Amino acid sequence: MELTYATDEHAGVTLVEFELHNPTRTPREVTVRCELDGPVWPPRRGGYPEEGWDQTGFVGPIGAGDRRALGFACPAPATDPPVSVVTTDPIEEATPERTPADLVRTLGDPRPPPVDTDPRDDTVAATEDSATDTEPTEGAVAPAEADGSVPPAIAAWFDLIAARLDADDPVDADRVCAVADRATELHRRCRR
Amino acid sequence: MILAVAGGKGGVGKSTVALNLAAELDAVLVDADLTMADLPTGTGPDLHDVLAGRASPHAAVRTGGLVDILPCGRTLAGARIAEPTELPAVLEAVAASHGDVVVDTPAGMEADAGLPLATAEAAVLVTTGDRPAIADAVRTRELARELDAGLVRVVLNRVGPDPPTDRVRAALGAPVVPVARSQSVATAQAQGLPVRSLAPRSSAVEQFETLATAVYACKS
Repeated sequence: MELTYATDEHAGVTLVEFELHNPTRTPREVTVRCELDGPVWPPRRGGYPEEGWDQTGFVGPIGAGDRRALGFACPAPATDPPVSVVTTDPIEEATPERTPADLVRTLGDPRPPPVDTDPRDDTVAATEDSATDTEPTEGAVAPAEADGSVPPAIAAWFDLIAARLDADDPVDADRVCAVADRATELHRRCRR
Repeated sequence: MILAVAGGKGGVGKSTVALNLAAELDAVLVDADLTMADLPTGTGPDLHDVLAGRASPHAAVRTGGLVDILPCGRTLAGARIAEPTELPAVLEAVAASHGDVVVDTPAGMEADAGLPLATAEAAVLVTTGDRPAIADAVRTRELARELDAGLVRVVLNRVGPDPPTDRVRAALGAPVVPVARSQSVATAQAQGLPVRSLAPRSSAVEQFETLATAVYACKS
């Protein structure tokens, strides 16, 4: 099995791209292990990891003479190599069975979006936790933070707005005046 | 046997057909509409709980009424925790313990519509005679075909005196059973009952019997 790879680091997260080439005349199931010091963030469709991925790497078939390009992210510094091929066992050529998760990936997840959409969360882990730990309560809209504070993502957004309010930006002031003028005009028309 | 009652568009009467067909077939009715459940729930665990692993399928089936029902909850929180990929296993477990299963399948083309079709051996497609409903039914028929759910019958629901049966048969490529617009069906449905319980001699009961016979024939 031939392996080529490239890595790219952004904000503490490493993007790993690699290509596998099976030069033999036999289809093979290849196991690829992530060598980075962190969990694999696999590619996802409809919120579900693509077939073959788990926290440690990838397992999947590659046909005789075929190439397969894959990639993932990992919250850890890059290493060289970022991945290694662990096993390459010969397999029978077979069409993989369609799993329920395949259908969700293809057709889309019917569930309402999660309340906390912090992209740093692992969606599958979060779903599994909430399935076992959270009581479904009628009319629940947002998760109650234990100390009554808002989630970090929303707190950061509030801070941005507060900073802008304090900044006394002349462009903002002009816009607010324009909106006020417009409102006055509309109000005048209504009263006619 | 697991039978999906499907239809592309909402409001065409899928839940009504599913309830009445389940009554005729003496089957368990599963309300698989995870986000907009339509059948009576009562109290106790529901499909959301089962898909979240909080209750067994067997515990969630309401027995003792005219039709055994596995209802679905109506809360957003419940819909969020329900794991849709568990639905096929749940349907198969209910079929193993209770026999025939009729699945009230949600409208649309998302996975909650696809999963019952992928699990079911056969499907009944419900549509009304208007163009948008038939167009959506065509899309659902394609999905059913893709997922190997054989189309047994098309129910042309709430028809008037001159139903467009031929046009619908031509569009959907399956035999059509017309079901007339009926006050007794609507009244029974509003109480969560099959029409047989309120008007056993009505023509609506005959039409659902015809449908059930066709499904039964396909089973054997």
